[in-house]
Amino acid sequence: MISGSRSFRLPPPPALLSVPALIGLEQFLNRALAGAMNSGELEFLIARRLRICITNLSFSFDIGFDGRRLLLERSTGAADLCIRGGSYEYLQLASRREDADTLFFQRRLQTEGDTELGLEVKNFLDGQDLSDQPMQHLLETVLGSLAGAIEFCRRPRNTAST
Amino acid sequence: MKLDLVCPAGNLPSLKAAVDGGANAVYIGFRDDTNARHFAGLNFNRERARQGIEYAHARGCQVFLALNTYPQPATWPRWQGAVDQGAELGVDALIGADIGVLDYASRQWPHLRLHLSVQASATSAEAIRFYYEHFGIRRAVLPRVLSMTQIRRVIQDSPVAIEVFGYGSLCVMVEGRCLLSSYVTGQSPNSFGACSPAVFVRWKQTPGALESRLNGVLIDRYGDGENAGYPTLCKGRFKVRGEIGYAIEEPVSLNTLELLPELAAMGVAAVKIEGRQRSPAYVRRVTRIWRAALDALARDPHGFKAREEWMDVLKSLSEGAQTTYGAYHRPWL
Amino acid sequence: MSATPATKLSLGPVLYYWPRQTLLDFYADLADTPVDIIYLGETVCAKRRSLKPADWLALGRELQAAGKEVVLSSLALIEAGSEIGILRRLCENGEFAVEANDMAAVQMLEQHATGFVAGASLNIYNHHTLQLLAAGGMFRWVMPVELSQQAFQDICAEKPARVQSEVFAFGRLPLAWSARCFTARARQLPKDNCRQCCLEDPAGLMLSTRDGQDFLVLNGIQTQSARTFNLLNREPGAAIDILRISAQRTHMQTIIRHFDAWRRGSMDACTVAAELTGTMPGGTCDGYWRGQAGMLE
Repeated sequence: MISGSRSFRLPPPPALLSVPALIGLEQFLNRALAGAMNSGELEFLIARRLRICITNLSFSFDIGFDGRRLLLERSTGAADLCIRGGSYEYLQLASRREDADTLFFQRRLQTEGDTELGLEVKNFLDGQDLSDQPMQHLLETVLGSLAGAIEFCRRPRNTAST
Repeated sequence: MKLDLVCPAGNLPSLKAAVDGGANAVYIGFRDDTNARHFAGLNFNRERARQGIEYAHARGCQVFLALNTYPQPATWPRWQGAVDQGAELGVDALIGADIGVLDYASRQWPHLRLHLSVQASATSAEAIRFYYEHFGIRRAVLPRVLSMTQIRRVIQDSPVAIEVFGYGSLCVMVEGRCLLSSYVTGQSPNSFGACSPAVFVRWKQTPGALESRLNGVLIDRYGDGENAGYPTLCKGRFKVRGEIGYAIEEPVSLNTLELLPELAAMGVAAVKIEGRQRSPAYVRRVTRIWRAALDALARDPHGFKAREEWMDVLKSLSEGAQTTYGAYHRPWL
Repeated sequence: MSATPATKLSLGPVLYYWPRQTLLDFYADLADTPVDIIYLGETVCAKRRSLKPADWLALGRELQAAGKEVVLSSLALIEAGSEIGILRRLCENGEFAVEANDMAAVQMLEQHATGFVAGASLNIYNHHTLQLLAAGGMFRWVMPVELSQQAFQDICAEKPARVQSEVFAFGRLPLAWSARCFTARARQLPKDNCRQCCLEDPAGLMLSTRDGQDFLVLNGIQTQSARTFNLLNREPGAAIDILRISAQRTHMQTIIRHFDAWRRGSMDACTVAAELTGTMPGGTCDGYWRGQAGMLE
């Protein structure tokens, strides 16, 4: 996982995805979304529990917001909304290479629970203007390259069309 | 004949994607029920609108403000305020539907260009003429219920320029007069700027099937391996005459890219892309494809051919992963 | 109670496709009922030609002679050039007032300087719109069916006194129109070769959910509610000039009789509702009037 000071590495195997990684992600998100939090745009998340399930890694974590900070932790209890997708799908979303609705139409992304909350999360994330935040822009570029590399590796060798 | 490309922007990143992608105009809404994409977290507050207009104008792109829902007496001041705010921000046109709103805008801001929204449900030159004579509208967006022949006739008789939808999610009902959503939920595009609102959606996993309901009404059921779609209520599967199927409409998007030469020849002034609720990734890709297509058309009107890679991407972004010509092509009816 | 003997009753246009004789018999039976205003004509599909324009005019004259006020109603969705022609001749008929259901008709009627009725699908949602159309000749306003009692009262508070108010008070609610014909689609027929199959559905075609709930009724290009709206499920609580009863094939006399009893003050709404239950296959609803989802009761 990426944080401000660590160097980038490939995602570790599931057994090592742990509290330190979540802490890193939590710190990063709180920095990246500080402006939005200050202007009250994350109020919709107060007292709600959002679960992110990364299906191919059999890993999920929960996100909450206490009005001041985003809080990430291992999944426990019930969540208001659960988003399910593969790590590749999340990479595509994070790097803005793909649109959430498209992944939903193709059933590569699924939601369970409070649909309105899902819409609000989606619209909130889509609305974040990264163009004037160089760190986030760099992240988008790096993730985009990673997603592109994965896509290239996945492309079938035999390209004859049916 | 130059066709303008009008692209949707539900937020500032999408607006920038559309402008950078080569749109001639983008259309936006404010963060409330004054426009027909009233979704939580979507649309522009005053400051973001200002930034968006600045960004667009600096790059030679116009910004239209969608104010296309129908105010009721108790909430009228909000629409009046939205007209004023749009005019003060310097939008290039206001896209309106309600007669009262258009009347106020034309009197209070005589220099503000007015476009007639698809939500006005004007399907004929005669209807368009009403709005032209009363409010001086400069352009009308046609509901997606007319065939190519019918559109040609409207353009011939219309006192104003005509804009048509080229791509995006499709309504099968004539826009501006569909109350199905409020029958089920109490909120319609006219009364609330929403259709099949998310707050009424429930998913339920039953043995062997995933059910989608809207305010308790079963819209569809999906078996394993079936693509589940958002329960827009006209796009469910229902039972009619003993048969279950898409009795009203199937999930599909409109795509008229291949019809561009014909549309241009008929004198269409602008092509509108649907999708303010979609993400910057969608807007970027769709805008670029349509820009490339329109440029290719301008260079060689008679030799225009829709490229396979354009069509593949447009299809992959579509609802139901499929596209149609819709009412432009009579067999769809 | 808001009923007064001055409250009028109207009969809305027949929304379904009935054969010629069925229509003529239907209207012959109505001549003796206490309905004050009768709307005639085809509002859904221009291909429905059981009665031609001259027939509607002749029928109008008969009903007028029987003491009824007659209004000719017009197509709600205009698509073809031929439909503009039909509409123009209707607007220029010179004998009866016209109910405009599309802005093309309003444009023609204003041009012709003829007073007109604004139908429910004209989207008059606020008093500003109403005042503008009143200035153009509108003398009667039929409220959009999704609006509530609150909206009705707010708009009426600002309307010119000479403009009459009318509310869709009984019947399956017209909810949408389309270029696509759903009745033909249900029989795998293309709209352009529909064989007038909607003649087989004199009360429309029921559409149910996959768990067996009656949901909507398909009527050609029009979609209606399966539930019958009844303004008199409770006392309406507002002063309405005209209550519209939508034409249906069965129980017409019973329904009119009950509405008449209510407006004369000899029956309260609850009794009307209870006694009319049998006239509403698919159940009842009144959610819209109460500011809720239309399907609710």
